[in-house]
Amino acid sequence: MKRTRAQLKTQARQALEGNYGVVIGTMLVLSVIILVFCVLLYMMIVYTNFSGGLESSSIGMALIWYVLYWSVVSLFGIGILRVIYQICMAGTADFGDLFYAFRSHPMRFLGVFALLVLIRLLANIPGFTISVIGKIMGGNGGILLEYGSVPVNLVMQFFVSLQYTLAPLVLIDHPDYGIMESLRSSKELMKGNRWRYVVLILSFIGVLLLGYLTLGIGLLWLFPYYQCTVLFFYLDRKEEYGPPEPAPVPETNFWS
Amino acid sequence: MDFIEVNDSITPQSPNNMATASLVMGIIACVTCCCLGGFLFGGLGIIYAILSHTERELRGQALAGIILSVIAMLLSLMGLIFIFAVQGGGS
Repeated sequence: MKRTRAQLKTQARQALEGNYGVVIGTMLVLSVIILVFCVLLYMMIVYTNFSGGLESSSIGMALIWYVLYWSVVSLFGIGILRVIYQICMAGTADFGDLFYAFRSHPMRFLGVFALLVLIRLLANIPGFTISVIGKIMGGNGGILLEYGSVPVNLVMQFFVSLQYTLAPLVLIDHPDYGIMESLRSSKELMKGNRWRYVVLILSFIGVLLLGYLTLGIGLLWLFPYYQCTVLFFYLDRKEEYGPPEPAPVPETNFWS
Repeated sequence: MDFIEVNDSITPQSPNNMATASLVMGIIACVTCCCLGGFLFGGLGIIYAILSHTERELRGQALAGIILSVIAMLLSLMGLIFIFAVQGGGS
């Protein structure tokens, strides 16, 4: 059944009614954890710089720190999604769900995020080409092309990664799915519904602006509302099509 | 002996905390609109009113919250424009 935007949003509000405290509390705890992690990371970077032992590989170390930071933040992001998923599906969630990604094959989630980053990087190719042409041309036209490549990049990134946007939710919903299965499933679910999803996302612009007007305090309530609506969009798509079953694993007898 | 007729169609509404919060924020926004609190509390009032809309119709408290919040935000905006106009005229 294709639900309208209003129906999806009403479902989200009903699911979250009385549960905002859990989500907001978890988000605040997560902020503190990430803050502590950042401070520790910063102290380690400062320590390694002062000790002078890693000067030759400082760029490599910076990359390692960045990947570490990105991995932890991504996995905690999945934790928040899991909390919202549990609230919407079971009506309740507990604090332990925040660490869900760490105990449920974290490499699946990291793999999906890494592939999404790669896809976004590849989507930059047309914009990069325009930028190079602008550099070669020079003059006012060249500068225009160089600046024009920025919105081209953003639009390309958005539309190319749009079909895989449900992949993290697929992974949470199906703990047995692998990286490629979740991406394939997301692509299947988004087929013919990309515009509907874009309109759903754009319909939040008004309330998000209102949230920024409240110095970001309102966003604490709006973020779960937004995520919950996207989750109900996913469930609606799943109900209609049903994600493709994972490819059967061939039964192999190890000893034969 | 006369019995009081009970109208079954009228069922008591369960308390909606979001709608109440919206009304409270609307009132605070109106009180603080002179010091630009209208944007902060008014924005929160409207957000809470939207999030309280879980039934077919908007609660009376939420509606009152929205009206008060919008009035407070308009008053804050007018105050802001007035401040800029005075500053512009003085310089």
